[in-house]
Amino acid sequence: MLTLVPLMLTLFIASTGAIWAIKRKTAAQAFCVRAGVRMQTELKTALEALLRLNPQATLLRARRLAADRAYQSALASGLPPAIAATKAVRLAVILRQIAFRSRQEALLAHAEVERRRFDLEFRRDVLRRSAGRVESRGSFPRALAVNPVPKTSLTPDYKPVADFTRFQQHLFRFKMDFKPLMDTRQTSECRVSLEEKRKEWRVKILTASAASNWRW
Amino acid sequence: MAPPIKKANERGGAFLESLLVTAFLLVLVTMLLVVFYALFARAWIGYQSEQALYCAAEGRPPPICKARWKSRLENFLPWGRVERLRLGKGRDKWNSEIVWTVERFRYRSARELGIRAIARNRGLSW
Repeated sequence: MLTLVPLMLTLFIASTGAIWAIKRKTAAQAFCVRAGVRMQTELKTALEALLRLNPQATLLRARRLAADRAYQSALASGLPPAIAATKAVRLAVILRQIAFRSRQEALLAHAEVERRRFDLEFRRDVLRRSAGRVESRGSFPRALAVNPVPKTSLTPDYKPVADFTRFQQHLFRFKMDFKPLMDTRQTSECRVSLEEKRKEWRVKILTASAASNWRW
Repeated sequence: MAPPIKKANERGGAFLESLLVTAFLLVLVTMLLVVFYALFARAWIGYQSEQALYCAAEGRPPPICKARWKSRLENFLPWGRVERLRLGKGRDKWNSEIVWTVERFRYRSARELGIRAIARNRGLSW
């Protein structure tokens, strides 16, 4: 009976180790994907709100153009009451544009804050779980991959950049160890982005499966 | 003259005892091996089911994900066979179902991966 003890112990340690490693890999993967999905869900809300403002921005630009033209015509006519009236209208439009611009800027700033918050949360959670070499980065300089159109306008429309899903993606990567059972480290990686489908924005997992991101 | 008396020995009894003990040990070892295998199979099936869900969520064609899922199960679980394998897609969610059998033992596992469920879950299991 005693001769079987080493065999049994080896079997027990091997199977427990394998199951533990599988569980740890699964949990790390789920953690990575969750971080990405939660970040992009927050960014999606900001993006939708920003894009919803576009019709108003277009309207304000048209009003500004009309006010500018009326003011130019009044200047050309040389009539002081007309100049004063069109100037007042133009000023009112500009003030509305400034107020509107602050709403757009607030949404962009909110998206930026959310991205930083999730980035910090992710780094903190990974380091707390004794994993190392954390990497969290977006593919676009700003939190939302959108550009103002026209660039010089006070109230531009915000349009998603070409190949939006690729630029909006955020990468999370970290190394985790399997100590004390195994002296090995594995890289876990996931990429999550947003995509538009049938005029609706959705969170899209770009890479998450072991086949696409596990390196031994 | 009296016939020589045969001396009794315990060889027969010892042989019988060792036979019984060997049989008992064999049963014990087999049972432990089966338990270890079943535990590993359960963990492996769960892990591969999740991989298949992530594969589908990445937008890969479901037949490719299913083929990879099946081959990994067959490679790592030589004893037993996959009876049913299903990978479905809903609106922003994916689900999988597997039925794996070994002899008379039948194991069924159904999982779901949904974007909303992931986003809602705040607790970290890791």
